[in-house]
Amino acid sequence: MNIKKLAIVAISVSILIPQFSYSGTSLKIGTQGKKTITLTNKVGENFIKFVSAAPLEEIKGTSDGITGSFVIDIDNLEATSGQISVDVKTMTTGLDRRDSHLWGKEWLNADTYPTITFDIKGLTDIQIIKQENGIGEIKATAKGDFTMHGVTKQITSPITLKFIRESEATKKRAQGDFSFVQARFSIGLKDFDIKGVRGLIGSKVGETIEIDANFYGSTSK
Amino acid sequence: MKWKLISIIALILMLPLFAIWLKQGKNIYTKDKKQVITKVKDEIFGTETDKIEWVDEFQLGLLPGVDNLSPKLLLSVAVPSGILICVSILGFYMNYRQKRFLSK
Repeated sequence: MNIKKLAIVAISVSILIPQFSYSGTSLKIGTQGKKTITLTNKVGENFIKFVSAAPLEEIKGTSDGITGSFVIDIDNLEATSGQISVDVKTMTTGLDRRDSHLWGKEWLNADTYPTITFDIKGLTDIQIIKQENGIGEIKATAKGDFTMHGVTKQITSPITLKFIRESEATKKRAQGDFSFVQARFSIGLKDFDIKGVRGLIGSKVGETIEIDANFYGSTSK
Repeated sequence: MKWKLISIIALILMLPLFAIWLKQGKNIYTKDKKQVITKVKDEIFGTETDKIEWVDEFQLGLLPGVDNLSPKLLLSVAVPSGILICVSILGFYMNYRQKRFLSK
């Protein structure tokens, strides 16, 4: 009797669980599953731009020392994850002396904290823009942990993500499926315990830094 | 008359400095590199992204570029303009004194 009841419960559960299980947003581009994208300049130039706007000066800077990878689950885009790092000593503002200040102890302290990282924990608010001919494009909000100057804070950033399946055209540039991510967000220096030289934040250096990032990668390692 | 002329010349000499400063982007500090952004079209991704390069280009600022100690960066609008303003004020004052002396 008990075995009969147990069998009924087991069958019911096995029928009901798939009905209630969450299925995320998927891209219908003729491929499925998880794709590991490794950033590479063969696909496109990986870089970040940063702007500090202060009453006395606007400082524009760039960095091309970007490394990392992320995993896109084509069947569940919400589960996208990965890590992207920026080598602090590749950040430049066009003046060598100012760059050495930027990497110095008062500011980013590159010797102690050589990288700035963004640990992607997932995507929300996904909007599918395009899904045809092996090309998928979405707009979403990336959430994750941003670590700078030894301090980690949870941040969100609106992103545009493109995924392109390998084709004759892509093979001319690099092997594998391609992906491109564009992100734009801002960070507050105070939030990351960056005090700078007394009096400069708010006058010559902005309290918040605007960041624009372009990441290119492929599934080929 | 000679002092008045010196004052006017000093004021006129300031104008090209300010014209260069306005033309070169109204920078607060003198700089020796410029960020050049060019738009790059990517055929595969169908996107237009920025390509950023730093090129050597002197840009006269209102104040000396304190971030670098090169002599070029010490040039600024404020320093020569300040000297010219002082010369101009001195010229007008000397002209005033000369006029008072002659009228006596």
